[in-house]
This record gives sequence, C-alpha cells and structure tokens, in this order.
Amino acid sequence: MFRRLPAALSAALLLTAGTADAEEPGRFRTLSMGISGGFQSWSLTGLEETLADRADQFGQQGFELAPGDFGITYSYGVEFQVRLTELFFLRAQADWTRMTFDDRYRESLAELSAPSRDGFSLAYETRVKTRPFMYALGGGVAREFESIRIGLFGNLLIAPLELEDTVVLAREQAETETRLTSTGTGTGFSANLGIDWFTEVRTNLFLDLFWRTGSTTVSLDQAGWESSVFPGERRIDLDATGLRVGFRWI
Amino acid sequence: MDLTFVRRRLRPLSPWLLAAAVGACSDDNPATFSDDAIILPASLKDALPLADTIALDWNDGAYLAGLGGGFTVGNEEGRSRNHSFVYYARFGPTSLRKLTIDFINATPWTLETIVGSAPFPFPDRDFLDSDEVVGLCRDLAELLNQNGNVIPAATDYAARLLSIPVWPEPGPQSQPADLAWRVDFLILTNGPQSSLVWYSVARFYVDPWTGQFLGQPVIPVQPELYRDLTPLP
Repeated sequence: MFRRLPAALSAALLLTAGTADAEEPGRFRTLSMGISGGFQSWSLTGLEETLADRADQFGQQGFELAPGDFGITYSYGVEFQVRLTELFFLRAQADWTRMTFDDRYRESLAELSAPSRDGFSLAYETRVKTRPFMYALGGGVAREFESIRIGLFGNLLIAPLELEDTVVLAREQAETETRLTSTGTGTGFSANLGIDWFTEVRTNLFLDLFWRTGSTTVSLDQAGWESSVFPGERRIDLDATGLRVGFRWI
Repeated sequence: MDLTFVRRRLRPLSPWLLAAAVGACSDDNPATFSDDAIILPASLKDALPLADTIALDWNDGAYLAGLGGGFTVGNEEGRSRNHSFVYYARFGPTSLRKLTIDFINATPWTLETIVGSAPFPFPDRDFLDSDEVVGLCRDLAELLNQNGNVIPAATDYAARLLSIPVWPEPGPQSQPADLAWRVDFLILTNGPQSSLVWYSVARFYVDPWTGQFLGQPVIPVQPELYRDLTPLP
C-alpha cells in the first residue's frame, strides 16, 4: 500500500514548486464545501474469501452458488476544505455507500442426503454499507491555474461498516428468512487527485479520482448464531479506486 | 525547498497514521470464531443451543420434544451439516403449535403447524451426543469383525435420535424402548435413475443415556435405501 507514496510525494512537490512566495490568497475562501456522487470499484478481499468459503459449504449440500464479488458500486459524499495557506488545505469528507452481492440457487434440490426428499432452494444476499458514513480526514496541496485548480490530498480513513447477511431457505411452500448483522469500525488511508473548474460564480465543478485502502473487522451482533457459515468476526479489506464528480462552493 | 513546515503540520497526525498502518496490516485469516461457534460438521448437541435460541424467540414457553432425526448424514465422527429439532408451545389457552427446525449448514428452515395435542417434553438433555454414539457403534463393529462376524464397511454414518418408538424393530420384542439412537452404516452407491444415493448396510440401536446397545446389530440381507426412513423426528 506504500508503493505509491513516492509518486504521491513527487506530485506534491511539483504542485508546490515555485509558488511558496505567491502573494495572492487564491480564489478559495477559508471554508469551502462540496457535494459529489460517483462510482467506485471495490475489492473486499477478506469478506470475499469468507463468502467463497460459505459457497463451498453449501456446495457440499448440492447448492451451486457463486463466490462473492462486489465489483462496482455508487457513492455519495459531502466534503469540506479549510484553507491553511495559499497551497495547503485541511480536508474532511463523509461518504455514503453500499455494496451488495447476492446469489441464489432456485432449483429444487433433487437430493439432500437422500433422493426423493423434499427439495430446498436457497438465496443469499450480503450487503456492506457505511454506518452511516465513511469518513476521510486529512490534508493536501492544491494549486490554482487560470481556470482550474489541481489538488492532491492524503487522508486517514475511518470506516464504520455494517455487514448484513440475508439467507432465505425455501422448501415446499414455506420459506424461512434469516437476517444477521455484523458491525465494526476500521481504519485506512485514502488519496485523491481533484480537479476543480472555476466558473463565473463561486461554484466549481470538480472531478475527483481517489484510491482507498484499509481494513475493518466486523463482529456478529446476534449472540448464539455464530457458525462456520456466519463467523463471529470477519475481516473486510477495503480497497477501492473510484471517480466522482460534484459541485463545490468556494 | 524547505519542507519542515510540512513535517510540522503532519506531526499531530502521526498517532492516527500509525494506528491506520497497524490496522491495515491485519493477519491472513479473514474469519475468526469463538468457542461457542457451531463449527461444521457439528454434533447434534453442538447445534442444540441455536435451535433453543430460535424456539425461544418464537415463544418464551417453547419446549423441546424431539431432535436428531431427519435427513442427517454424518461423517465417521458422527458429525453432520444438517440437524432437525421439534418444539411445542402454547399460544393462548387453546392453541397449541409445533415448530420444526431443520438446519442446513447451521441455516434454519422452520415450519409452524397447529396441532391438537402436546407430547411430553424431551426427557433429559444429558444424553449421548451423535459423535459419541457413532464412536460406540464403530467400536462394536470392529470388535464383532475381529470375532468373525461381518459388519459391512461404511463410508458415512446416520445417527438419528428418534423421539418415536424405534426399537425393537417389528418382530419379537424382548425389551421395549420409547427412545433410542439409531445408527445406520451407509454406503453411497448408484440408485434409481443413475443418481447417487445412500444405502444402509447395518443399523444399531443404542440407549441415549446409558450407551447400552439394544439388541444385536441388524444387517439387512440387501442394503436398504436410506430414504425409506422417517424424514423428520
């Protein structure tokens, strides 16, 4: 995760080079606020491993389920920046997102330990969501050009997450839904490269490329339900890259 | 370029950055379990607390009436991925209901039905567990084979604690029993329509509390389809 640090520092140096003596305070006021929406590609490695293990376990009973893969999802956020100097800003962001993986095996099982028994069908859904937001606190440098501002920021990521498992077992005309939740708060890093376009008014359009990494351990909330299928604690590795666009009031 | 002011500004964040780095360097195992977890395959008693949790959530006055039957097929240690339980409870002065809980991989499927009469509660929870009783039967089979008898080899084992009279089997009755472990030695082989099915090649009856064998092992002339057994307790 630190492999990209030299590149990030180099970019920061480029942005700061030759501007330390600038006298103009820039077009940003002390406090600015932005709202954004976008997409991000998640890799939740630890959780996906446990979901693959769960699929294997149901597979031993004849259910054919896919291992977990969360892929691309959406997110919405609000962001505040505080100008410290012409170049340096503090940054705070809250992001709301949820990632859902679901799979089902609808066909009745011909056999479950024996032939000609009543068939079962199975559907499960695993949802990871922020509780209620994922927070990024940090700072960085930003340099204004004629019509744009380019900024590079590094942040500490604080990730309160909720993991929701829903499993539906159906047999004959009756089905049973089991819904369990696990919660936890993890930490990590994020970095983002933002480009603001200045307009005639004090509202910028901005585009933000970001990268996140971190880890959260969530604990099962319901006592007594812990099993090989619903582990007591699960690690969720948070690795994501994404793109969002938004408006910023400067 | 003098960047000391950058270091000065970052210094207050150092503890946070260190904590984040430690958090990011987690171990390789993505799942951890407490001592109370149901680790599959599980014995019948391992799954009982979860069944109790579900039943008491259904009705505070629910009581266990039967367990351990159903479609359970276990390994050579008497541990299975499926287990069945039956509870009863009163809802109001006149309504009596039955709750059947089938676990598939510790995931419940429940069926609630209205019934007319209530059976006795399961008498004593201090019974021999499925792994213990399968061990007893395997030991006996090994002993009998050493003495010239032939107990067919098995690949899987079904241990069913049936809360209905299961022993003696139809025929001369020397010792009645209302409740017994029935342990089937199973082989997986080709069945009807080219499907793989279990056949029972030998069965044993064991007292659930004393571990005493009830009669001699029964060895059918031809292996019997396991599906012909009662599906639920």
